[in-house]
Amino acid sequence: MGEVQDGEEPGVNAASPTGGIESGIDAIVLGASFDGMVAAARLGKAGLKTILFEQETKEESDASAGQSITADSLLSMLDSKVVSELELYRMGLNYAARRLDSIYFMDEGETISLDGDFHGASQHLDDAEIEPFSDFSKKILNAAAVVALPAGARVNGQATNSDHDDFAFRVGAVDEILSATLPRVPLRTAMAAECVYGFDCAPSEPFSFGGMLSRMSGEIAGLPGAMAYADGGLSGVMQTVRRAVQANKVDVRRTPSVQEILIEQDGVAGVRLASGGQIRAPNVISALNANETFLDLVGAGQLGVEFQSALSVPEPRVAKVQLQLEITGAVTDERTLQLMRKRIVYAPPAHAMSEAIFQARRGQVPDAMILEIFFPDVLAGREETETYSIIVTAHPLPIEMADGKKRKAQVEKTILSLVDRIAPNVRKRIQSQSLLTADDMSKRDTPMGWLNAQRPVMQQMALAQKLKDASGVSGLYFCGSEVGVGGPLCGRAGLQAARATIDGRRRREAR
Amino acid sequence: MIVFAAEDQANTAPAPTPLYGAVSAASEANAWSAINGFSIVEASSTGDEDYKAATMSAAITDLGCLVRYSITGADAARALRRLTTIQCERIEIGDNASGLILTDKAKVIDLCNVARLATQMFMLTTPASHARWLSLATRSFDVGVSDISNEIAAIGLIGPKAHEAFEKVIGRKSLNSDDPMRTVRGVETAFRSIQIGSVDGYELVFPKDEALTIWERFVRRAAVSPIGLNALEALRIEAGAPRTNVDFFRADRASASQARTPWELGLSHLAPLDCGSFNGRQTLRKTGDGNRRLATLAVDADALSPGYVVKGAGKEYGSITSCAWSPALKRVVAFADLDKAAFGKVRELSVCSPAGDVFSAHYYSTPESAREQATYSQAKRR
Repeated sequence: MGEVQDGEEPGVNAASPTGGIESGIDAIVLGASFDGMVAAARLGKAGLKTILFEQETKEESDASAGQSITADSLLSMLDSKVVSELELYRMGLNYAARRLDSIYFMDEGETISLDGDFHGASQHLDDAEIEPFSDFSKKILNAAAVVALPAGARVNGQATNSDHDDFAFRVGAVDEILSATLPRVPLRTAMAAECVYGFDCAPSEPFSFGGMLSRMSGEIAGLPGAMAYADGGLSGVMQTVRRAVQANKVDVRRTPSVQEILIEQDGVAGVRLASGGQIRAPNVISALNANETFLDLVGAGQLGVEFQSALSVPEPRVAKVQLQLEITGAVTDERTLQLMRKRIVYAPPAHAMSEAIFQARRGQVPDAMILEIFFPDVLAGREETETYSIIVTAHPLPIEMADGKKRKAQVEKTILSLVDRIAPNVRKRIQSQSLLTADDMSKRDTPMGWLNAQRPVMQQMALAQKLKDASGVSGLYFCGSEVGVGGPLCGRAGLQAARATIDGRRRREAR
Repeated sequence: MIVFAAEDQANTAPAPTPLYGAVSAASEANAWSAINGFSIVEASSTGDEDYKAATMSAAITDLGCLVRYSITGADAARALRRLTTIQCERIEIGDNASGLILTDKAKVIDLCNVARLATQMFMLTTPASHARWLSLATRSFDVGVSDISNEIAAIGLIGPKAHEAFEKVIGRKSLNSDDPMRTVRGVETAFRSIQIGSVDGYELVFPKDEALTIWERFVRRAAVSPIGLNALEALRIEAGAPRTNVDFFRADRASASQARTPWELGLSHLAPLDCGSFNGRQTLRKTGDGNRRLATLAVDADALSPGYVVKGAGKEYGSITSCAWSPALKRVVAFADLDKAAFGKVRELSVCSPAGDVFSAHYYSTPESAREQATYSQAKRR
């Protein structure tokens, strides 16, 4: 087994020796994404001798050149079982802010506030809106609970993917469902923004309402549908899982590349490395993307024809971008500070959201965008400071930013003009700004690709089910981004892959 | 094993095959069917005489309605290995092998035959068209796939005297050569040995523009008799070769209850589990035999129709899927889709018409069922 090399991260070992065959390993996890680390830590905890391969990313070369860019996000769906099974609180997980209230800004100066607890979110609303919204939130949380279940799970003996009462929510269009359930336009606009934020679908399109179910399907800090901010942001959560990996004695290795997943007699036999060496193991979990896992590493000849064709579903064409601003000047006004402790959303009119999606799909920078804004310093309790960071995440943008700098400048200008509508005085206090695109994120693995938009929920669930069930190779499990539904850092897919591996091993041992 | 697809009932204007002129001139019955969009003659003289020619002397038939693909490239053998249950890497140049095309869930899409024409060139012959499936299955492989059905003509020369007839046309030396290409009247043809039903013979594939020249050469020089679909149908059922979309639905277009595994069609010997990887093999290994069984029956009747009910001990077990008069057995031979519970266990079977006529029936062994049994016994011994 590799030893820790000088200058490397603690717990990260060098690649396997060239040319040799290494055996005695129970499981190999490919890819140190959040789900990959969750899977590896869970396997390690179950006593399986596990190797986690993390590939060297461009982030590391950027970091060494002093160009590191961090990304951050609020959390909405860190799986509670991941937290408990990996003892993440013991590993240092802490929420700097939980149950974040949201305030929605709309055109025409309208604002709507909603409590962080979606169940009790109606206290800020008009009397006429309270009852319809209360009904709406109950139904949504019930339907969302089904989305949160593993693909193919059954509720009361019924398949969750087809027979549930709330089927209409999963296949319906946002415009149609909100018009039928909520009486006033501003609240509908706010909810429409929640539905399509992060998804490649317009409010006028079928299946678009599934985005709301996805948003509400998560649980954070013990509260379904809530939002929270972890100490250290996304990086902080990644650090806690990394600690869990180390605590559970997972052998973390860095290698240029795994070249092949070895299949022998319909079962996994290990991996072959670029160096020519082999590591033999009866279980492999891949947290890489589906095409890389199945087409490049397994090989088309080992896959079912229908399974392979499921891999070629069109990728989403839109993504989010994140603009990070540093602003100067202390904030002493309590009203402003209260606002800065919330999650701020700019919600354009529904028709503008639809048009924005269509423009982004055509590769254009849209005129309107949904913005999600938060102040990490304030959420982390650093209120008395002279400079504040602001994280502005905008959706939708074209996933391809082909003409680099010029396009980025255009995006920054559009986002800042929208920020002006919410806070007209911010722009002149900006000290520095940096834009992070999905393209930038694809070059780093922490956390892999979360800025990319997702397919509509039903399509995503269908794809996830196909990928989970159909590789047909015994001992091969998949927890890449294609099987996740929802926001960044959930961990459910990694945990399920690890559990399936553990169960499979038990079954084999029992035989 | 050469089998045709189901007739196109809705096609009222099928296209002529390249051999249509010659076949229609030779056909006294002038009765036609449409298969895969082509006109195919049902009988040249009468069904019985056609059958007699095929089983006692040498007969020639137009195979232009079969679908053919050329698969070329460095990965051709590997791609076909995945697509079909045939170990294509092991086929020598000039040889061919029959197998199945399966879904991921190990249900039968179609029968197929793969002939190797060169190191990196194969010809895939199927009863029905599978362009979409082929394009899905060959993704990620370095292969070129093209449907050559409209560019070529094909004849089948079958019967106990087919070899002799063939020798007369191309010469003994050429017939015994290993080269898959033969020259007939200056036309280069791809040649392979085939089986139609249990009758052996040869197939010649050649450019469609030369179709009439080649046909005439065989008819004049070797005095072979043209035959039609009805005789081929009797031969096929006698041999136990099920017909696509007649005896089973192609699984890529069927519902789950209609789709059948190789075992259910009596063709498990064409999908051997111990001979490398093919699409559906992993599922086939894990799943059982299935709930249905396509059985061959000999029925004491002069005529039957598909859809007649098959009963045993007063219980309904299934229905007839296709049938033909067998001049050899002097009774009707039929395929019947039966409940697995009846197959091999209920010996006293009867076939009932909607009018209430009852005909006694019994299982009979075909060359295909004998092959399946032999493979099964071999596997059991291992």
